[in-house]
Amino acid sequence: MRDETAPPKKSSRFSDQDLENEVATMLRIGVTLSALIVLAGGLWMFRQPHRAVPELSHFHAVEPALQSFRGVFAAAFRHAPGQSRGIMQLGLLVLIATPVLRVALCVVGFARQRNWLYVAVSAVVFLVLLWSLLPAAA
Amino acid sequence: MHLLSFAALLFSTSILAGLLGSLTGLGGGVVLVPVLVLIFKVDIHYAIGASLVSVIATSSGAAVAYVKEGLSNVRIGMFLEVATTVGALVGAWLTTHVTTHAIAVVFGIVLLYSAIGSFRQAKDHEAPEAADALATKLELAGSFPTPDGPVAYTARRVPAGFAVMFGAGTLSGLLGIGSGAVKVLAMDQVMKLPFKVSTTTSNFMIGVTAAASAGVYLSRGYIDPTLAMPVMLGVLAGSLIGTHLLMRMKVSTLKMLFATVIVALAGEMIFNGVTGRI
Repeated sequence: MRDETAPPKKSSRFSDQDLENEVATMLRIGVTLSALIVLAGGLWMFRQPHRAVPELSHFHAVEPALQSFRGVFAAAFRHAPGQSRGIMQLGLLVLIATPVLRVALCVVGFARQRNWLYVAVSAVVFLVLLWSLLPAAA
Repeated sequence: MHLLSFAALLFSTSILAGLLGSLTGLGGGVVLVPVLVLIFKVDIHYAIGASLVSVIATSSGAAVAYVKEGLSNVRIGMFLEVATTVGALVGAWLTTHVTTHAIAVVFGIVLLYSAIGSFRQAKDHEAPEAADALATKLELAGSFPTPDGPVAYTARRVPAGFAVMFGAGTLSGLLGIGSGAVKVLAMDQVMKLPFKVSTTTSNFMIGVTAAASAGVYLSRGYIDPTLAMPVMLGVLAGSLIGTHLLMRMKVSTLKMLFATVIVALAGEMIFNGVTGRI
């Protein structure tokens, strides 16, 4: 992850740039994983016999199973009609989780820098994000 | 229409949106919603749901390229994310309570602002004469590499910048966009941070801001996977191609063209919103 050929740093302290590199790696893994799951779900959908274009011109909300974390997991792993939509939605959940994990990584990174002010700031952002996900966790 | 052709059409449109969005620096999300609503006749709630997840994907996907340049500021980004995430929660709550007409009109206004803002010159500010006390206390400073060595900078007018960021978060949650234009306004114009630091830090913040409204969108059934799949994959692919092309392309003509398209979409959104067609 870190460039081994770079000249040695003046201090061995975990720098802002180190933190940003770790964050970037994590984001890349999250986005790649999410895109692969979404793509797999999409390909699976095209192989289904009953393929209808969803009615999207009027809002009626997607099926309740795809509105919560638990429902999405159940739909993605149950071999039943709608499984492909469950898999695609699971990929989107991975995508949504990626920035949340990014903030968690920053809490740890700032702790390694012993920057307690920014441990607190990133912890606040992390808690806001967790709180924002509560409606989907119910 | 067959499901496959529906998805293929959405996918190619989204590639174009992502490509133009990253080449012009306006982001893919800002044209996605009007294109889905006006051309594909998708309900605005599904459109903002698909746009929101695409915004998270492009922000996170492009971050890798920016981090290498060492321009974004992780502390300034994190501090301002307190404002944008709380703002996004307010915006997502508003989306479930205001009419689609109102959303369309606000969207049109934000589109117009983004088009105008894209022509602002990347002019950097003179070095601050005295350090801002609050910025010093919050360590909202840094340095960025230039050909002549690192240049130091410190944030100014922190409370005003924080307030504008709250607004940027609210717009992001209300409209399912990254609202990068408003984030850059807060850092570049209000807090007087260097332009490149503002744009790269803004890109970093967009994913976290968008994630804060995702829970509300998901639980309200705004995120339809059959729609979001081709849109998210297309915008992501388009923006990654755009980021690579950007290194060796002159974009002024393209920017003019894209801004004209955005102004037309803005007019259409406002007209349809006011006349109650959306």
